[in-house]
Amino acid sequence: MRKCYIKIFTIILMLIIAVTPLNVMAVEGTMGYAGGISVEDPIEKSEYEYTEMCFLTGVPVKLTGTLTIKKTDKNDVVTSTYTYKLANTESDITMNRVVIYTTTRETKLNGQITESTKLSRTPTEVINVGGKTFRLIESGFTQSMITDPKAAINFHTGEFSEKKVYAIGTDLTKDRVTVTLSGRTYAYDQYWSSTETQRINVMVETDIKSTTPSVKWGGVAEIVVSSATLNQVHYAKNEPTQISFDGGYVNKKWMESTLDYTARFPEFDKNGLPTDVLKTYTDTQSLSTQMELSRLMVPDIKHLNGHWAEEPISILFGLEILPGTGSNFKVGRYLTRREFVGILMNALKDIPTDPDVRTAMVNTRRTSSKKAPEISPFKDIEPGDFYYEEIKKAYQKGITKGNGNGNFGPNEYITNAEAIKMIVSALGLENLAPYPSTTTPFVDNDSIPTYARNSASVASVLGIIEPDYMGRFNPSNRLTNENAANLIFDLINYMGDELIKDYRDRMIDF
Amino acid sequence: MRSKKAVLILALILTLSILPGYGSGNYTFADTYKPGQVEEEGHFSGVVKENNPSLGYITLYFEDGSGVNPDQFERLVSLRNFTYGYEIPVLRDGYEVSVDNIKPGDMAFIKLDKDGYIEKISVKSYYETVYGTVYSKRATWLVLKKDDGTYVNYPLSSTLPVYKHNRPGTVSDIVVGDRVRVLVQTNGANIDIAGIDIEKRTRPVTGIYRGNVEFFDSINTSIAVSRVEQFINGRWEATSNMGIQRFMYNSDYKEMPPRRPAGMVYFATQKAYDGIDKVVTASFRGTSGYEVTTKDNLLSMTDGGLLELEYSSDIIGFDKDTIAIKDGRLVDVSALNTLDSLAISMEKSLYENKYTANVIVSESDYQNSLVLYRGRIKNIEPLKTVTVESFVQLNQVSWEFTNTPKTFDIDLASSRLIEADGVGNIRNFDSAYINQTVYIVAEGSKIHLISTAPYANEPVMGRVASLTKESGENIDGAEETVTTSIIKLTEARIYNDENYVWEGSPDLSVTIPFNSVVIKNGIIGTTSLIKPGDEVRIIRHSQSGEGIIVLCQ
Repeated sequence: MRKCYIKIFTIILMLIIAVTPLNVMAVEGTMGYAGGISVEDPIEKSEYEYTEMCFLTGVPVKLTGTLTIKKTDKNDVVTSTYTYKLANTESDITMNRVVIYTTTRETKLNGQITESTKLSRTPTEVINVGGKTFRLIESGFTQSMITDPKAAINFHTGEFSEKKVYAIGTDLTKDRVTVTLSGRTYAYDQYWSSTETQRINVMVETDIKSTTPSVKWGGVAEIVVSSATLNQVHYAKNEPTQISFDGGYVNKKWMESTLDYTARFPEFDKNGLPTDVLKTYTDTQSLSTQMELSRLMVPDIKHLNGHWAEEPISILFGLEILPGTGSNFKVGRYLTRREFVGILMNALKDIPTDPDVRTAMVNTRRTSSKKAPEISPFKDIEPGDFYYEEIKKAYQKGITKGNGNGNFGPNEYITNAEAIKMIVSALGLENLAPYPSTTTPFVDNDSIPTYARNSASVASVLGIIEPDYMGRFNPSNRLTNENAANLIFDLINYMGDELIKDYRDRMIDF
Repeated sequence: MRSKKAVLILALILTLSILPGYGSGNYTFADTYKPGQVEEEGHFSGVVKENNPSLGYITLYFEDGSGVNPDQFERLVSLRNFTYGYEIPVLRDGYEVSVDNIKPGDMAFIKLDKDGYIEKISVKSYYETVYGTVYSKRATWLVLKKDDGTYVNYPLSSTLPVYKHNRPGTVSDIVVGDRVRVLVQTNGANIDIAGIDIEKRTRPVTGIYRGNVEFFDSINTSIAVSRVEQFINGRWEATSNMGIQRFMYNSDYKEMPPRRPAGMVYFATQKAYDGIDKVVTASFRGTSGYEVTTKDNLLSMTDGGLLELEYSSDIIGFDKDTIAIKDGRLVDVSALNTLDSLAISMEKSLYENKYTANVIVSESDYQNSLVLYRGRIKNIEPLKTVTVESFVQLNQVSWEFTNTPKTFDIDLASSRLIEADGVGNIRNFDSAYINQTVYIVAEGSKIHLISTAPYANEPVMGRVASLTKESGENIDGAEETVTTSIIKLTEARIYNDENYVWEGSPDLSVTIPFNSVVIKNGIIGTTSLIKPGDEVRIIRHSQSGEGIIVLCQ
């Protein structure tokens, strides 16, 4: 009988070790750490189309092929297997590489997550260049990373260092190439776009002892690789006039990766020996996936045809950020704090999860079938109230703390100052201006409440808000429906379009 | 009781009035601790409103960030003005600096001594990063077109730190059309620029095209164009692609075409961050009138949108759709200067005798400091010098003979040796080469290239129609295949040195061997530098007909 219970318990335990997605980064790690770029294969799961530059011969050669990533997460220890199969048929080069990393995660008191990655075992790597074999015989890798999870965005930054020694040919003791890589990673994850950019310095040192005299040469490369997922909305006008709706919006989603390098290697003479003249090679490679198109609902806002805020209102209804179909949308109507938080939380959406991670979670604690009573974070809003879940979530993520007296004031009208404070808190970018005591570029700076002054300054720098025609912010003005739509639309544009420039375009350009 | 209160208030007012006023610190602190005191006195923080090292004071906004309103000025002066002597320790962003490095907009932390003077101060800067393209530049200011399409004006000074490729440069390195990153801290009317970074690799305009619009694909933001021609060296040339070509729009170029794009479109492309040539500007001109191209110098420009040309004295209009390129950068027409050499494509109005420029390209003359010599090697000091017995020096189309030896210096980092069978190694350039006749391309006495190519004495010139490479011998281990190229020239002319005239020879083909000397814009390279449309001067070997020296103009 006892044995039978143990058996049943074991089966239940195994069932509990279910494969569930983990709410972590969506992009970070998909390019590997060898200076290559990847985009997801639309059909094969965990497989990526991959490109990297090979510098071993002293002349940059582009290798293309596939990268397969498999990750398992067991109690915050992630084992990741990266399998590369690459080739360049024109230059007669093939490469096979398998690297297994172990990453240990630790969540700190303030919610930040630190990661430490090392090799799980010695990687295997064989490169064949026109019959000449480069075999990996020594390898060392270390990586550290910190993730700062904010309400709407997870920010990541880290660094890695790798040393690889290859033996050339069959004699593993004579001819060697040592490749040293050191790089920094900057990444963020959120619904509207995700980007990871690595800036890597590569040093290649070759020591050929099999010739007389022996030959030594070295070269360097600076590589910037970046991978991004983008989510944008595009207007499509109808051609026929006799149609029930006037145009509409299409959501475009795709992934693109860019590799930009500058390498300096010796020029080689007609005998294949290095000269003292350094040649500079620069190039940019890119990969992208096919765009995924999806239509947004066409809202019923015919009463707003021609209104200056028609576009943002239409898009927000289409994205189901504004509730309803649009027929009841009234311009000039003041928005309550409850409504604004509901709309804001709809716009921020959940941060996507890493598709390559499989999580094994062992739950040994017995859970009671009785559900604990729900406790509202605020005295003046109850579970089941309209937008209760959104307000609770906003409180848990630190977007709002209420009115300071335990109340949220759900039915009070929201002001510009309150709204901008919530938006900047959601982005987690308060430290871009002196906190909390900055000044703002608005002429009515002194009228801005202290709690919102920093947020107003940051939002102005980020381009989310602009002064009115008199240069004012008007902190006490109540937010109208259409102004809120404009503000949320600018927030989405910032998250989808502007943030990516800071992490990718500008890092490549400068 | 009331009288006691009044006395107390009077005493307080008197005490305040006796306290040292503005300029010597408004705070003093007792040497002894008050009962129950748990915090040290004299700590202040806030954003710097003003720092005046001459008078020795610093003014902070209030701790909550207020104090911008002019009616707060008196209060600010009395409560937030702090004085300092010359030798106070100052930290800015963790570095020790002098007190005049504290800028408005910095966040400051101040500790006062017991007499109310600043004992120490540390500040943190909050520079904002502004990205944009230089729209115009003068000696003391530049106008930046920001990425969001708005314009901003920044002061320039000769001491302003400028960086290109993370290396220090000067303000003169900033050119109109450059993409730059400005680190700026703005507070009220105060603007402090910490530095300007020029993009590490200038992305020049890769092509100026025109063609008939087939359609605009708004989903993929690209344009399909037929009969595509490229503007090269002041002329429209057919591209190698047949039929219809697709050009992607750059994501930063937000201006969409008219609702029904048709007729002629003029556009320029630039390499985007992903390495793909994308449209960065396009002008839809609709139906085309009579079009001509010309080359001339700019004499003057009027505000009314007119250009006066120097040699032809023609007056040409331009409008907001005119595409202007200067030294490979997309610029506003106003960036062109008097006496700039221009290549213009312009269109005559269908209704009046007036020309409007569609495309204006200005290229600054390159100051070529390279000189080509040929001589017999008399002596070689390995890795150091090469001496020729006597030499000839190329001047335009003829060789000028000098009957004296000349010594050239070898620079290992830049001196290259090119032989008929591939790249040689300058480390092996020793006495075995004595008595060989070689070409030497030098800048001053510094050797850039030594070539063993044969003597050439027949000048040819023309416009490159096409360039084909013949696969040659691939020497094992060599980094590049030794190839021979064939350049097809149109409008070719051969120099007759008996009559001293250029004689026409249409559609000439010249074979360029591997060890030929190719120079374009001061760069010595291979035939891969040569592009169709280039105007070239070639010195041929009179018997084999091989082009040994190719100079791109």
